[in-house]
Amino acid sequence: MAEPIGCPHQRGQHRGVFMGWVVRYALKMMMPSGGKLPGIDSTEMVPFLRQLRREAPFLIRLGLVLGSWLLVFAPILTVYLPVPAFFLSKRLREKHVQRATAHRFYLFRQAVLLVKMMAGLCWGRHPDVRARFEMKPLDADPGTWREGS
Amino acid sequence: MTHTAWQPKGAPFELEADYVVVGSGAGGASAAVTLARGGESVAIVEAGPWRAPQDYPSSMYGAMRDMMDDWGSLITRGRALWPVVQARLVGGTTVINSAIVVRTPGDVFQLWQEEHGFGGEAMAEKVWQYQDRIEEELHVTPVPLDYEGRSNRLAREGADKIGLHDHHMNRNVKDCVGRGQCLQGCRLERKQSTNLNYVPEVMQRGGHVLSCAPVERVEFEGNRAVGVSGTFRHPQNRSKGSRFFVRGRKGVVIAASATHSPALLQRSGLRSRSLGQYFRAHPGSGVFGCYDEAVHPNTGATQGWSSLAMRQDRGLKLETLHLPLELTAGRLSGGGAQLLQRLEEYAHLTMWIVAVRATSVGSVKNGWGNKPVVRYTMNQHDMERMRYGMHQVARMHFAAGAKAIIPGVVGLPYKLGPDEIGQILEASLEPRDWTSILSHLFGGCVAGVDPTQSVCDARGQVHGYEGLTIADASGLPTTLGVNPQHTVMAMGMLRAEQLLEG
Repeated sequence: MAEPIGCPHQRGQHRGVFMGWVVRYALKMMMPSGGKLPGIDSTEMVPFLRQLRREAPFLIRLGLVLGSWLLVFAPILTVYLPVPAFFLSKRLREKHVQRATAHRFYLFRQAVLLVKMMAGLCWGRHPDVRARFEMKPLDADPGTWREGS
Repeated sequence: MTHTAWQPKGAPFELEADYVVVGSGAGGASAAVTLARGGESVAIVEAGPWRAPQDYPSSMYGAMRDMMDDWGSLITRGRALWPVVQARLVGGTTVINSAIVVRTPGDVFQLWQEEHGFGGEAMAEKVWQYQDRIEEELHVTPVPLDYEGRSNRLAREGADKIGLHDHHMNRNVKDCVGRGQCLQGCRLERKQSTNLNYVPEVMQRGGHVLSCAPVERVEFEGNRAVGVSGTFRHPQNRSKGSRFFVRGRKGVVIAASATHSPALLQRSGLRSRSLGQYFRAHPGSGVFGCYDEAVHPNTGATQGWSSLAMRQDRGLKLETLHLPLELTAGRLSGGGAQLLQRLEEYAHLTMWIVAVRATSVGSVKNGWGNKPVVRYTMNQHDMERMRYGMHQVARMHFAAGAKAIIPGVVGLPYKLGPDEIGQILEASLEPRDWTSILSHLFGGCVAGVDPTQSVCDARGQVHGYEGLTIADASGLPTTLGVNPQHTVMAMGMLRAEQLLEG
């Protein structure tokens, strides 16, 4: 029944703390591969998360982690099964994500929205994705500022 | 020309000028340049860094990191958690807005006169004179038709068909080429944000700019404001640098925004019952139209069309808005494969928005880490108007040829066809079911003649204190029903002119 996207045992390229794996899993659930558009895992998600961890304020990182944990571990609230999302079939996992984004518990829905927002920031800036919409690649974000003069 | 950016820990940085202006956005920069033109020495103290156009980011991630206040993470605390959009860099929100310039409507001054004891025709005349000058200095022109983009053109056609009076936006943009990148700052320097004109002019006139310098307190001697103090913050790693103290021999001008100004004065110990009260906004929400032919919403002026036809009777403003791909991914409902499927038609989607001149009133408090806490909930009356406005936007989309619209309201279907448009008028009025933002903010340090009901007087002087002036949107006692940048700039100039007059 289970069709994991990349379970915790597949440490290989995603070596790191379990918390990081949960976030990656949540993002991949939100924007999975397999359709006409690239999934988030083919859009430099890992470097994006490293950058986010390095640069984002604590509250944003905390929100993303909490939202990801809720998304991964709360199928009980959506498809009424007391298992983490990585034990769900692909069909049930899809159903779970869809229901989570429109859930009647507002804070749950908002936490999941934050995961979706972050997924969108990563996915939407990638050149391959933009090429699908005939959009030029974005220039770099220099992150520079004026020193004193 | 003198600009001091982040300073590492060490001896405190000290500076003295005639006036200290806190904030470099629409209100602060306008006040500062007016004071500098009047021969005063001015020090502008800005919390964020100074980023020139070549420093601007391209992605929305970069815009959140480099330009937004705290990564855009400020949200309303109330019935619903709605984002409050503000910038934090030299130039303030003028760098990341759509540069929309709308003259202050005359009825606003009448309302101020009736309800707050100042304003009236005399003030209107003065403000409009400043607005004449601003329009000349900042190259205010209508959106050029060659670069309006298909979304703006469709909106114009749709509005015409349903009989809505409308217009092209006037914007402080010189020779726009329609890159659709207003929200990330215009790297081509076409948008005339204050970091490109008024702030450099202040420096040319002998002024000083401190960037990366969030003000922690206004310093007082007795009841006289004598300066501001704080600690430099590194723009990249947010580490603390040295302390700074900027003395204002003649006074301190506060223009840190409708959220930060009241928070700053609260933590400075200012005593006023009205401080942080009467916070107002123009909450907005959008409707996507789905078109057979590609709209390419990323091309053309970011916001190039508007209708104020319903401003007077309904308190509504309709506008176009290009939403970048990154944000559209978060804005469309759904998740998983379904979300990606919905995103496939991105090139065929375009969002138009309704902004409400809301009657709802909130408050601002200084919170943990010197961050403002905004309490705000839209009341039922305002929600009904937002719903009505959304219905009008949907009508425009269908009149312009959309095959469906995407309302984005919980409880409504993902898409509605032309025959289902009536469902919008039955949509939930629960704020939690709506995806909205607060982009135009007012109040928190409102002006008025009654010291028990206001923070500052008709000239922006804080009641009961000397040398302390409010010169930003926090001093505006009501909403405007139009984009506030032009009003905030003109009021900033007026406040400064009144200081020069003594």
